[in-house]
Amino acid sequence: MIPYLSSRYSFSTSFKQRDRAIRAVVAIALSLVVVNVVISIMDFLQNGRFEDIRDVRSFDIVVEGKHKEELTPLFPDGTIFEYGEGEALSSNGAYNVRYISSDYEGGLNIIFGDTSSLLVPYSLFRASNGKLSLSMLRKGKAATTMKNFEFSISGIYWTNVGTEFDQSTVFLPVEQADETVFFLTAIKNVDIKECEKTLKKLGLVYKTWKDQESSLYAAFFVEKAMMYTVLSLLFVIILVSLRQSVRIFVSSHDKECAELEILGMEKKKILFMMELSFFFMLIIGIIIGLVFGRLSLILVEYISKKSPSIMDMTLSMSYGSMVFFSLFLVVVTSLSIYFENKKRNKRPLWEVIHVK
Amino acid sequence: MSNELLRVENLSKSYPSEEKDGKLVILEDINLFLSEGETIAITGKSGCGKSTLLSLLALLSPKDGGKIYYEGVDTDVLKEKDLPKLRNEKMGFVFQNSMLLEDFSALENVAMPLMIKGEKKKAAFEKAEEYLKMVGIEERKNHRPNKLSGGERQRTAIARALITEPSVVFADEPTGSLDEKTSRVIEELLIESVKKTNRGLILVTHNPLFAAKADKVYVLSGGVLNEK
Repeated sequence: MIPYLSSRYSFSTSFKQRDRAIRAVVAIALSLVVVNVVISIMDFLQNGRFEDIRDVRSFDIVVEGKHKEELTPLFPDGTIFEYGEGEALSSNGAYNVRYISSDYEGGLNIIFGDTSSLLVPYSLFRASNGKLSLSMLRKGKAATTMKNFEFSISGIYWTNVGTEFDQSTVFLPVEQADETVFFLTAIKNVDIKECEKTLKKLGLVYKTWKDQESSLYAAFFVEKAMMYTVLSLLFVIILVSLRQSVRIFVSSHDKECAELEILGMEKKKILFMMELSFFFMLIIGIIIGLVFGRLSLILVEYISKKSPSIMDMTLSMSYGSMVFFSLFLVVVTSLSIYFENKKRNKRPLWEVIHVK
Repeated sequence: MSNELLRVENLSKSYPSEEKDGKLVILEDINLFLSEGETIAITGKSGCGKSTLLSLLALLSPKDGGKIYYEGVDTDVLKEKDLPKLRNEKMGFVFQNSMLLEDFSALENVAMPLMIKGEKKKAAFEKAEEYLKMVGIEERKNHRPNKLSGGERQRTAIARALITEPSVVFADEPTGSLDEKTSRVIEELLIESVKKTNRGLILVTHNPLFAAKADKVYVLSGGVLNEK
Protein backbone atom coordinates (compact mmCIF):
# COMPACT_ATOMS: atom_id res chain seq x y z
CA MET A 1 0.00 0.00 0.00
CA ILE A 2 2.66 2.54 1.04
CA PRO A 3 5.07 1.79 -1.86
CA TYR A 4 2.03 2.01 -4.16
CA LEU A 5 1.23 5.51 -2.91
CA SER A 6 4.86 6.60 -2.71
CA SER A 7 5.70 5.58 -6.26
CA ARG A 8 2.75 7.67 -7.44
CA TYR A 9 3.70 10.70 -5.36
CA SER A 10 7.41 10.65 -6.29
CA PHE A 11 6.82 11.80 -9.84
CA SER A 12 3.26 13.00 -9.52
CA THR A 13 1.93 14.75 -12.60
CA SER A 14 -0.36 17.07 -10.68
CA PHE A 15 0.49 20.56 -9.47
CA LYS A 16 3.78 20.68 -11.42
CA GLN A 17 5.14 18.02 -9.08
CA ARG A 18 6.98 16.20 -11.85
CA ASP A 19 9.03 19.29 -12.75
CA ARG A 20 9.98 19.75 -9.12
CA ALA A 21 10.86 16.08 -8.73
CA ILE A 22 13.02 16.14 -11.86
CA ARG A 23 14.76 19.28 -10.63
CA ALA A 24 15.46 17.61 -7.28
CA VAL A 25 16.82 14.48 -9.01
CA VAL A 26 19.07 16.61 -11.24
CA ALA A 27 20.33 18.57 -8.21
CA ILE A 28 21.13 15.35 -6.34
CA ALA A 29 22.84 13.83 -9.39
CA LEU A 30 24.84 16.99 -10.10
CA SER A 31 26.00 17.34 -6.52
CA LEU A 32 27.18 13.74 -6.60
CA VAL A 33 29.02 14.29 -9.89
CA VAL A 34 30.77 17.40 -8.55
CA VAL A 35 31.74 15.75 -5.28
CA ASN A 36 32.95 12.67 -7.14
CA VAL A 37 35.14 14.66 -9.53
CA VAL A 38 36.56 16.89 -6.77
CA ILE A 39 37.37 13.96 -4.48
CA SER A 40 38.87 11.88 -7.31
CA ILE A 41 41.14 14.71 -8.44
CA MET A 42 42.06 15.34 -4.81
CA ASP A 43 42.92 11.67 -4.37
CA PHE A 44 44.94 11.73 -7.55
CA LEU A 45 46.88 14.79 -6.45
CA GLN A 46 47.39 13.54 -2.92
CA ASN A 47 48.04 9.87 -3.45
CA GLY A 48 48.78 9.28 -7.11
CA ARG A 49 51.33 12.07 -7.40
CA PHE A 50 53.06 11.12 -4.18
CA GLU A 51 53.20 7.47 -5.22
CA ASP A 52 54.90 8.48 -8.45
CA ILE A 53 57.27 10.80 -6.64
CA ARG A 54 58.14 8.04 -4.15
CA ASP A 55 58.65 5.62 -7.00
CA VAL A 56 60.88 7.86 -9.10
CA ARG A 57 62.37 10.78 -7.21
CA SER A 58 62.68 10.41 -3.46
CA PHE A 59 61.93 6.72 -2.83
CA ASP A 60 60.55 5.54 0.54
CA ILE A 61 63.83 5.98 2.36
CA VAL A 62 67.34 6.83 1.19
CA VAL A 63 70.40 5.98 3.28
CA GLU A 64 73.65 7.85 2.90
CA GLY A 65 76.39 5.67 1.44
CA LYS A 66 76.48 2.23 -0.15
CA HIS A 67 74.67 -0.27 2.07
CA LYS A 68 72.88 -2.62 -0.32
CA GLU A 69 74.62 -5.77 0.80
CA GLU A 70 74.10 -4.94 4.46
CA LEU A 71 70.42 -4.00 4.15
CA THR A 72 69.10 -6.56 1.66
CA PRO A 73 68.92 -9.42 4.21
CA LEU A 74 67.19 -7.13 6.70
CA PHE A 75 64.39 -6.20 4.27
CA PRO A 76 63.85 -9.30 2.17
CA ASP A 77 60.49 -8.03 0.82
CA GLY A 78 61.82 -4.56 0.00
CA THR A 79 63.51 -3.23 -3.11
CA ILE A 80 67.02 -2.00 -2.41
CA PHE A 81 69.53 -0.48 -4.83
CA GLU A 82 72.40 1.99 -4.86
CA TYR A 83 72.86 5.09 -6.98
CA GLY A 84 75.04 8.17 -7.09
CA GLU A 85 73.94 11.78 -7.25
CA GLY A 86 75.71 14.72 -8.78
CA GLU A 87 75.03 18.02 -10.50
CA ALA A 88 75.98 19.34 -13.90
CA LEU A 89 75.58 22.40 -16.07
CA SER A 90 75.07 22.55 -19.80
CA SER A 91 74.15 25.20 -22.33
CA ASN A 92 70.51 24.16 -21.82
CA GLY A 93 70.51 24.60 -18.06
CA ALA A 94 71.30 22.80 -14.81
CA TYR A 95 70.83 19.05 -14.39
CA ASN A 96 70.80 16.49 -11.63
CA VAL A 97 72.89 13.53 -12.64
CA ARG A 98 72.06 10.10 -11.33
CA TYR A 99 74.69 7.38 -11.66
CA ILE A 100 72.95 4.06 -11.99
CA SER A 101 73.59 0.40 -12.67
CA SER A 102 71.42 -2.36 -14.07
CA ASP A 103 69.76 -3.00 -10.67
CA TYR A 104 68.36 0.53 -10.55
CA GLU A 105 64.58 0.35 -9.90
CA GLY A 106 63.69 4.01 -9.86
CA GLY A 107 60.67 3.87 -12.21
CA LEU A 108 62.55 4.54 -15.44
CA ASN A 109 60.70 3.90 -18.70
CA ILE A 110 63.46 3.57 -21.28
CA ILE A 111 62.38 4.22 -24.85
CA PHE A 112 65.71 3.13 -26.25
CA GLY A 113 69.17 2.51 -24.83
CA ASP A 114 69.87 0.99 -21.41
CA THR A 115 71.40 1.80 -18.06
CA SER A 116 74.94 1.43 -19.46
CA SER A 117 74.48 4.54 -21.60
CA LEU A 118 73.59 8.21 -21.12
CA LEU A 119 69.83 8.49 -20.73
CA VAL A 120 68.17 11.84 -21.30
CA PRO A 121 64.54 12.95 -21.61
CA TYR A 122 63.12 13.33 -25.11
CA SER A 123 63.07 17.14 -24.95
CA LEU A 124 66.81 17.26 -24.31
CA PHE A 125 67.51 14.68 -27.00
CA ARG A 126 65.61 16.76 -29.53
CA ALA A 127 67.55 19.92 -28.62
CA SER A 128 71.02 18.39 -28.59
CA ASN A 129 71.87 16.82 -31.98
CA GLY A 130 72.91 13.55 -30.35
CA LYS A 131 75.69 15.13 -28.26
CA LEU A 132 75.54 16.61 -24.79
CA SER A 133 78.25 18.74 -23.21
CA LEU A 134 78.07 18.69 -19.42
CA SER A 135 80.17 20.54 -16.87
CA MET A 136 80.19 18.24 -13.88
CA LEU A 137 80.22 19.98 -10.52
CA ARG A 138 82.70 18.28 -8.22
CA LYS A 139 82.09 19.23 -4.65
CA GLY A 140 85.25 18.98 -2.61
CA LYS A 141 85.82 19.87 1.01
CA ALA A 142 87.41 23.21 0.18
CA ALA A 143 85.80 24.17 -3.13
CA THR A 144 83.51 23.17 -5.94
CA THR A 145 85.18 22.68 -9.31
CA MET A 146 83.90 21.88 -12.76
CA LYS A 147 85.08 19.31 -15.26
CA ASN A 148 83.78 19.30 -18.84
CA PHE A 149 82.68 16.17 -20.66
CA GLU A 150 81.01 15.53 -23.96
CA PHE A 151 78.72 12.55 -24.14
CA SER A 152 76.97 10.83 -27.01
CA ILE A 153 73.32 10.48 -26.17
CA SER A 154 72.50 6.81 -26.41
CA GLY A 155 69.14 6.51 -24.72
CA ILE A 156 65.86 8.28 -23.98
CA TYR A 157 63.71 7.77 -20.90
CA TRP A 158 60.55 9.09 -19.29
CA THR A 159 58.98 8.73 -15.82
CA ASN A 160 55.49 8.95 -14.38
CA VAL A 161 56.45 12.06 -12.40
CA GLY A 162 56.57 13.94 -15.67
CA THR A 163 58.46 16.95 -16.91
CA GLU A 164 59.22 18.45 -13.48
CA PHE A 165 61.63 15.53 -12.87
CA ASP A 166 62.49 14.45 -16.42
CA GLN A 167 63.55 17.84 -17.75
CA SER A 168 66.12 18.30 -15.02
CA THR A 169 67.61 14.82 -14.68
CA VAL A 170 70.00 12.77 -16.77
CA PHE A 171 71.24 9.26 -16.04
CA LEU A 172 74.80 8.03 -16.46
CA PRO A 173 76.28 4.56 -15.86
CA VAL A 174 77.73 4.17 -12.40
CA GLU A 175 81.15 3.56 -13.98
CA GLN A 176 81.24 7.28 -14.91
CA ALA A 177 81.07 8.34 -11.28
CA ASP A 178 84.26 9.69 -9.76
CA GLU A 179 85.23 9.89 -6.11
CA THR A 180 83.31 13.14 -5.52
CA VAL A 181 79.92 11.61 -6.37
CA PHE A 182 77.68 11.18 -3.39
CA PHE A 183 76.25 7.64 -3.14
CA LEU A 184 72.95 6.67 -1.62
CA THR A 185 71.06 3.45 -0.97
CA ALA A 186 67.38 3.57 -1.85
CA ILE A 187 64.83 1.41 -0.04
CA LYS A 188 61.35 0.93 -1.52
CA ASN A 189 58.26 -1.10 -0.70
CA VAL A 190 58.89 -1.38 3.03
CA ASP A 191 57.06 -0.32 6.18
CA ILE A 192 58.69 3.05 6.68
CA LYS A 193 58.33 3.16 10.48
CA GLU A 194 59.77 -0.32 10.94
CA CYS A 195 62.54 0.49 8.49
CA GLU A 196 63.40 3.68 10.38
CA LYS A 197 63.74 1.71 13.64
CA THR A 198 66.16 -0.72 12.02
CA LEU A 199 68.23 2.03 10.41
CA LYS A 200 68.45 3.89 13.72
CA LYS A 201 69.71 0.75 15.44
CA LEU A 202 72.35 0.40 12.75
CA GLY A 203 73.33 4.03 13.23
CA LEU A 204 72.84 4.89 9.55
CA VAL A 205 71.99 8.36 8.29
CA TYR A 206 68.79 8.33 6.29
CA LYS A 207 65.92 10.48 5.03
CA THR A 208 62.31 9.42 4.49
CA TRP A 209 60.36 10.59 1.47
CA LYS A 210 58.45 13.04 3.69
CA ASP A 211 61.74 14.60 4.84
CA GLN A 212 62.95 14.94 1.29
CA GLU A 213 59.67 16.26 -0.09
CA SER A 214 58.76 18.34 2.94
CA SER A 215 58.03 21.55 1.02
CA LEU A 216 55.96 19.71 -1.56
CA TYR A 217 54.19 17.79 1.19
CA ALA A 218 53.37 21.05 2.96
CA ALA A 219 52.09 22.52 -0.30
CA PHE A 220 49.89 19.49 -0.85
CA PHE A 221 48.63 19.77 2.70
CA VAL A 222 47.59 23.37 2.10
CA GLU A 223 46.00 22.32 -1.18
CA LYS A 224 44.16 19.53 0.60
CA ALA A 225 42.91 21.94 3.28
CA MET A 226 41.69 24.32 0.57
CA MET A 227 39.98 21.51 -1.28
CA TYR A 228 38.22 20.39 1.89
CA THR A 229 37.13 23.97 2.53
CA VAL A 230 35.68 24.17 -0.98
CA LEU A 231 34.08 20.78 -0.52
CA SER A 232 32.57 21.86 2.81
CA LEU A 233 31.09 24.96 1.17
CA LEU A 234 29.75 22.75 -1.57
CA PHE A 235 28.20 20.52 1.08
CA VAL A 236 26.51 23.51 2.69
CA ILE A 237 25.11 24.66 -0.67
CA ILE A 238 23.86 21.16 -1.42
CA LEU A 239 22.39 20.91 2.06
CA VAL A 240 20.48 24.19 1.71
CA SER A 241 19.28 23.28 -1.77
CA LEU A 242 18.19 19.81 -0.68
CA ARG A 243 16.45 21.17 2.40
CA GLN A 244 14.56 23.59 0.18
CA SER A 245 13.58 20.83 -2.26
CA VAL A 246 12.30 18.70 0.59
CA ARG A 247 10.38 21.60 2.08
CA ILE A 248 8.65 22.31 -1.24
CA PHE A 249 8.06 18.61 -1.85
CA VAL A 250 6.44 18.04 1.53
CA SER A 251 4.45 21.27 1.66
CA SER A 252 3.08 20.68 -1.83
CA HIS A 253 1.78 17.34 -0.59
CA ASP A 254 0.33 18.71 2.65
CA LYS A 255 -3.23 18.61 1.42
CA GLU A 256 -3.00 15.07 0.05
CA CYS A 257 -1.40 13.88 3.30
CA ALA A 258 -4.20 15.51 5.30
CA GLU A 259 -6.79 13.91 3.00
CA LEU A 260 -5.19 10.50 3.50
CA GLU A 261 -5.26 11.07 7.25
CA ILE A 262 -8.93 12.00 7.06
CA LEU A 263 -9.52 8.77 5.14
CA GLY A 264 -7.93 6.93 8.05
CA MET A 265 -4.24 6.66 7.35
CA GLU A 266 -2.01 6.79 10.41
CA LYS A 267 0.46 9.65 10.80
CA LYS A 268 3.50 7.37 10.97
CA LYS A 269 2.43 5.65 7.74
CA ILE A 270 2.05 9.03 6.05
CA LEU A 271 5.53 9.96 7.24
CA PHE A 272 6.89 6.67 5.89
CA MET A 273 5.08 7.25 2.61
CA MET A 274 6.65 10.69 2.22
CA GLU A 275 10.09 9.37 3.17
CA LEU A 276 9.73 6.61 0.60
CA SER A 277 8.47 9.03 -2.07
CA PHE A 278 11.56 11.20 -1.74
CA PHE A 279 13.73 8.12 -1.33
CA PHE A 280 12.70 6.96 -4.83
CA MET A 281 13.83 10.33 -6.19
CA LEU A 282 17.01 10.14 -4.15
CA ILE A 283 17.89 6.67 -5.43
CA ILE A 284 17.34 7.72 -9.04
CA GLY A 285 19.43 10.85 -8.43
CA ILE A 286 22.22 8.81 -6.81
CA ILE A 287 22.29 6.25 -9.65
CA ILE A 288 22.38 8.99 -12.29
CA GLY A 289 25.02 10.82 -10.22
CA LEU A 290 27.23 7.73 -10.03
CA VAL A 291 26.91 6.98 -13.76
CA PHE A 292 27.59 10.57 -14.79
CA GLY A 293 30.29 10.83 -12.11
CA ARG A 294 32.14 7.91 -13.75
CA LEU A 295 31.63 9.42 -17.20
CA SER A 296 32.94 12.77 -15.95
CA LEU A 297 36.11 11.10 -14.69
CA ILE A 298 36.61 9.43 -18.08
CA LEU A 299 36.16 12.83 -19.73
CA VAL A 300 38.63 14.54 -17.36
CA GLU A 301 41.15 11.73 -17.97
CA TYR A 302 40.67 12.07 -21.72
CA ILE A 303 41.16 15.85 -21.62
CA SER A 304 44.25 15.49 -19.39
CA LYS A 305 45.78 12.97 -21.81
CA LYS A 306 44.99 15.03 -24.89
CA SER A 307 46.07 18.37 -23.51
CA PRO A 308 49.87 18.85 -23.39
CA SER A 309 49.60 21.54 -20.72
CA ILE A 310 47.85 19.30 -18.20
CA MET A 311 49.52 16.37 -16.48
CA ASP A 312 48.17 12.93 -17.33
CA MET A 313 45.57 11.90 -14.83
CA THR A 314 44.38 8.45 -13.93
CA LEU A 315 41.29 8.97 -11.84
CA SER A 316 39.28 6.39 -9.96
CA MET A 317 35.87 6.61 -8.33
CA SER A 318 36.06 7.20 -4.63
CA TYR A 319 33.40 4.64 -3.71
CA GLY A 320 33.84 5.15 0.03
CA SER A 321 33.19 8.87 -0.32
CA MET A 322 30.24 8.22 -2.62
CA VAL A 323 28.64 5.85 -0.12
CA PHE A 324 29.28 8.34 2.67
CA PHE A 325 27.85 11.21 0.64
CA SER A 326 24.82 9.16 -0.45
CA LEU A 327 24.14 8.20 3.15
CA PHE A 328 24.54 11.86 4.09
CA LEU A 329 21.87 12.76 1.50
CA VAL A 330 19.56 10.02 2.78
CA VAL A 331 19.94 11.15 6.40
CA VAL A 332 19.51 14.85 5.59
CA THR A 333 16.38 14.27 3.48
CA SER A 334 14.96 11.82 5.96
CA LEU A 335 15.35 14.27 8.83
CA SER A 336 14.06 17.17 6.74
CA ILE A 337 10.94 15.21 5.79
CA TYR A 338 10.45 14.21 9.41
CA PHE A 339 10.56 17.82 10.61
CA GLU A 340 8.40 19.13 7.77
CA ASN A 341 5.85 16.43 8.53
CA LYS A 342 5.96 17.30 12.18
CA LYS A 343 5.26 20.91 11.29
CA ARG A 344 2.15 19.89 9.35
CA ASN A 345 0.99 17.57 12.10
CA LYS A 346 0.86 20.49 14.52
CA ARG A 347 -1.89 22.09 12.44
CA PRO A 348 -5.49 20.83 12.64
CA LEU A 349 -6.45 18.67 9.63
CA TRP A 350 -9.33 20.97 8.82
CA GLU A 351 -6.96 23.89 8.48
CA VAL A 352 -4.52 21.93 6.28
CA ILE A 353 -7.15 20.78 3.79
CA HIS A 354 -8.57 24.26 3.45
CA VAL A 355 -5.32 26.07 2.70
CA LYS A 356 -5.46 27.35 -0.86
CA MET B 1 -30.45 4.48 23.17
CA SER B 2 -29.15 1.57 21.11
CA ASN B 3 -29.26 3.43 17.82
CA GLU B 4 -27.22 6.42 18.98
CA LEU B 5 -24.52 7.34 16.49
CA LEU B 6 -23.38 10.75 17.61
CA ARG B 7 -24.08 12.76 20.72
CA VAL B 8 -22.75 16.23 21.38
CA GLU B 9 -22.99 17.97 24.76
CA ASN B 10 -22.15 21.60 25.49
CA LEU B 11 -19.66 21.88 22.66
CA SER B 12 -17.84 25.18 22.43
CA LYS B 13 -15.19 26.76 20.27
CA SER B 14 -13.55 30.16 20.13
CA TYR B 15 -10.60 31.72 18.37
CA PRO B 16 -8.05 34.19 19.77
CA SER B 17 -9.09 37.73 19.02
CA GLU B 18 -8.13 41.26 19.86
CA GLU B 19 -11.70 41.93 20.94
CA LYS B 20 -13.02 41.79 24.52
CA ASP B 21 -11.85 38.81 26.63
CA GLY B 22 -9.22 38.13 23.98
CA LYS B 23 -11.37 35.57 22.19
CA LEU B 24 -14.03 35.35 19.53
CA VAL B 25 -16.70 32.83 20.45
CA ILE B 26 -17.79 30.78 17.42
CA LEU B 27 -19.80 28.02 19.07
CA GLU B 28 -21.36 27.97 22.51
CA ASP B 29 -23.07 25.12 24.34
CA ILE B 30 -23.92 23.12 21.25
CA ASN B 31 -26.02 20.00 21.85
CA LEU B 32 -26.84 17.54 19.11
CA PHE B 33 -28.03 13.98 18.75
CA LEU B 34 -27.85 11.81 15.65
CA SER B 35 -29.35 8.36 15.46
CA GLU B 36 -29.04 5.55 12.91
CA GLY B 37 -30.52 6.36 9.50
CA GLU B 38 -31.15 9.96 10.48
CA THR B 39 -30.16 13.00 8.43
CA ILE B 40 -29.44 16.35 10.03
CA ALA B 41 -28.91 19.59 8.16
CA ILE B 42 -27.11 22.55 9.71
CA THR B 43 -27.79 25.87 8.05
CA GLY B 44 -26.95 29.45 8.76
CA LYS B 45 -25.45 32.55 7.26
CA SER B 46 -22.00 32.53 5.72
CA GLY B 47 -19.30 32.74 8.38
CA CYS B 48 -21.61 31.71 11.24
CA GLY B 49 -19.46 28.67 12.07
CA LYS B 50 -21.26 25.81 10.29
CA SER B 51 -18.10 24.35 8.82
CA THR B 52 -16.25 24.86 12.10
CA LEU B 53 -18.96 22.85 13.84
CA LEU B 54 -18.65 20.09 11.28
CA SER B 55 -14.86 20.04 11.69
CA LEU B 56 -15.29 19.62 15.45
CA LEU B 57 -17.86 16.85 15.07
CA ALA B 58 -15.56 15.02 12.65
CA LEU B 59 -12.63 15.50 15.07
CA LEU B 60 -10.69 17.44 12.45
CA SER B 61 -10.21 20.47 14.72
CA PRO B 62 -9.68 20.70 18.48
CA LYS B 63 -12.64 21.83 20.58
CA ASP B 64 -12.46 24.16 23.57
CA GLY B 65 -15.02 22.40 25.71
CA GLY B 66 -17.91 19.96 25.76
CA LYS B 67 -18.21 16.30 24.91
CA ILE B 68 -18.53 14.32 21.66
CA TYR B 69 -19.62 10.69 21.83
CA TYR B 70 -19.45 8.24 18.94
CA GLU B 71 -21.77 5.27 19.45
CA GLY B 72 -21.60 6.03 23.15
CA VAL B 73 -17.81 6.31 23.34
CA ASP B 74 -16.42 9.56 24.72
CA THR B 75 -13.91 10.82 22.14
CA ASP B 76 -11.92 12.54 24.91
CA VAL B 77 -10.68 9.16 26.10
CA LEU B 78 -9.39 8.31 22.63
CA LYS B 79 -5.73 8.81 21.94
CA GLU B 80 -4.39 10.65 18.88
CA LYS B 81 -3.36 7.36 17.31
CA ASP B 82 -6.94 5.97 17.63
CA LEU B 83 -8.46 8.75 15.54
CA PRO B 84 -7.41 7.54 12.05
CA LYS B 85 -9.05 4.16 12.69
CA LEU B 86 -12.20 5.88 13.99
CA ARG B 87 -12.35 8.12 10.91
CA ASN B 88 -11.71 5.21 8.58
CA GLU B 89 -14.36 2.94 10.06
CA LYS B 90 -17.01 5.27 11.45
CA MET B 91 -16.90 8.40 9.31
CA GLY B 92 -17.32 9.33 5.68
CA PHE B 93 -16.63 12.75 4.22
CA VAL B 94 -17.98 14.74 1.30
CA PHE B 95 -16.48 18.21 0.97
CA GLN B 96 -17.44 21.16 -1.17
CA ASN B 97 -14.52 20.72 -3.54
CA SER B 98 -14.66 16.91 -3.27
CA MET B 99 -11.05 16.67 -1.99
CA LEU B 100 -10.21 13.78 -4.22
CA LEU B 101 -6.60 12.62 -4.50
CA GLU B 102 -5.49 14.12 -7.79
CA ASP B 103 -2.86 11.49 -8.56
CA PHE B 104 -5.33 8.64 -8.47
CA SER B 105 -8.21 7.56 -10.70
CA ALA B 106 -11.83 7.70 -9.55
CA LEU B 107 -11.67 3.95 -8.89
CA GLU B 108 -8.48 4.27 -6.81
CA ASN B 109 -9.96 7.21 -4.89
CA VAL B 110 -13.03 5.22 -3.96
CA ALA B 111 -10.98 2.14 -3.07
CA MET B 112 -8.49 4.16 -1.00
CA PRO B 113 -10.28 3.99 2.42
CA LEU B 114 -10.54 0.21 2.07
CA MET B 115 -6.87 -0.13 1.14
CA ILE B 116 -5.97 2.07 4.10
CA LYS B 117 -8.08 -0.23 6.24
CA GLY B 118 -5.92 -3.10 5.06
CA GLU B 119 -8.06 -4.74 2.40
CA LYS B 120 -6.38 -6.30 -0.62
CA LYS B 121 -6.20 -4.07 -3.68
CA LYS B 122 -8.24 -6.44 -5.85
CA ALA B 123 -11.07 -6.76 -3.33
CA ALA B 124 -11.03 -3.00 -2.71
CA PHE B 125 -11.25 -2.29 -6.44
CA GLU B 126 -14.15 -4.73 -6.89
CA LYS B 127 -16.10 -3.05 -4.11
CA ALA B 128 -15.18 0.40 -5.42
CA GLU B 129 -16.59 -0.54 -8.82
CA GLU B 130 -19.90 -1.48 -7.16
CA TYR B 131 -20.05 1.90 -5.42
CA LEU B 132 -19.14 3.79 -8.58
CA LYS B 133 -21.97 1.91 -10.29
CA MET B 134 -24.27 2.91 -7.45
CA VAL B 135 -23.48 6.61 -7.97
CA GLY B 136 -23.70 6.21 -11.74
CA ILE B 137 -20.18 6.87 -13.00
CA GLU B 138 -18.82 3.38 -13.48
CA GLU B 139 -17.72 4.20 -17.03
CA ARG B 140 -15.52 7.06 -15.71
CA LYS B 141 -13.68 4.90 -13.19
CA ASN B 142 -10.27 5.16 -14.82
CA HIS B 143 -10.32 8.94 -15.13
CA ARG B 144 -8.36 11.12 -12.79
CA PRO B 145 -10.24 13.87 -10.91
CA ASN B 146 -8.98 16.60 -13.24
CA LYS B 147 -10.74 14.81 -16.11
CA LEU B 148 -14.06 14.59 -14.25
CA SER B 149 -16.80 17.21 -14.15
CA GLY B 150 -17.80 18.83 -10.84
CA GLY B 151 -20.81 16.53 -10.57
CA GLU B 152 -18.75 13.44 -11.33
CA ARG B 153 -16.19 14.44 -8.73
CA GLN B 154 -18.91 14.76 -6.09
CA ARG B 155 -20.39 11.40 -7.09
CA THR B 156 -16.93 9.90 -6.64
CA ALA B 157 -16.62 11.60 -3.26
CA ILE B 158 -20.01 10.20 -2.19
CA ALA B 159 -18.96 6.69 -3.26
CA ARG B 160 -15.73 7.09 -1.32
CA ALA B 161 -17.56 8.35 1.76
CA LEU B 162 -19.86 5.34 1.82
CA ILE B 163 -17.55 2.51 0.83
CA THR B 164 -16.35 1.70 4.36
CA GLU B 165 -20.00 1.63 5.50
CA PRO B 166 -19.39 4.34 8.11
CA SER B 167 -21.84 5.23 10.88
CA VAL B 168 -21.87 8.91 10.04
CA VAL B 169 -21.34 10.79 6.80
CA PHE B 170 -20.24 14.41 7.07
CA ALA B 171 -21.04 16.61 4.10
CA ASP B 172 -19.76 20.18 3.99
CA GLU B 173 -21.56 22.19 1.29
CA PRO B 174 -21.43 19.21 -1.09
CA THR B 175 -23.22 21.11 -3.84
CA GLY B 176 -21.65 24.49 -3.14
CA SER B 177 -19.55 24.54 -6.29
CA LEU B 178 -22.05 22.93 -8.67
CA ASP B 179 -24.64 24.39 -11.03
CA GLU B 180 -28.26 24.19 -9.98
CA LYS B 181 -29.23 21.20 -12.09
CA THR B 182 -26.24 19.12 -11.01
CA SER B 183 -26.80 20.24 -7.42
CA ARG B 184 -30.31 18.76 -7.40
CA VAL B 185 -28.99 15.44 -8.70
CA ILE B 186 -26.17 15.28 -6.14
CA GLU B 187 -28.51 16.28 -3.30
CA GLU B 188 -30.88 13.45 -4.19
CA LEU B 189 -28.03 11.01 -4.63
CA LEU B 190 -26.45 11.85 -1.29
CA ILE B 191 -29.67 11.70 0.73
CA GLU B 192 -30.81 8.54 -1.06
CA SER B 193 -27.47 6.75 -0.71
CA VAL B 194 -27.27 7.52 2.98
CA LYS B 195 -30.85 6.44 3.60
CA LYS B 196 -30.45 3.28 1.54
CA THR B 197 -27.41 2.22 3.55
CA ASN B 198 -28.98 3.33 6.84
CA ARG B 199 -26.16 5.73 7.73
CA GLY B 200 -26.38 8.94 9.68
CA LEU B 201 -25.76 12.18 7.78
CA ILE B 202 -24.68 15.56 9.06
CA LEU B 203 -25.05 18.04 6.28
CA VAL B 204 -23.81 21.59 6.33
CA THR B 205 -25.43 23.78 3.71
CA HIS B 206 -26.58 27.33 3.21
CA ASN B 207 -29.18 26.10 0.74
CA PRO B 208 -32.60 25.91 2.54
CA LEU B 209 -34.11 23.66 -0.14
CA PHE B 210 -31.34 21.11 0.28
CA ALA B 211 -31.56 21.39 4.06
CA ALA B 212 -35.28 20.75 3.92
CA LYS B 213 -34.63 17.26 2.57
CA ALA B 214 -33.05 16.27 5.90
CA ASP B 215 -35.00 14.75 8.81
CA LYS B 216 -34.01 17.57 11.13
CA VAL B 217 -32.83 21.07 10.32
CA TYR B 218 -30.77 23.17 12.72
CA VAL B 219 -29.93 26.81 12.32
CA LEU B 220 -26.65 28.14 13.64
CA SER B 221 -26.67 31.77 14.59
CA GLY B 222 -24.55 33.76 17.01
CA GLY B 223 -22.74 30.59 18.04
CA VAL B 224 -25.97 28.92 19.16
CA LEU B 225 -27.63 25.97 17.45
CA ASN B 226 -31.44 25.83 17.36
CA GLU B 227 -33.71 23.27 15.77
CA LYS B 228 -35.91 24.76 13.11
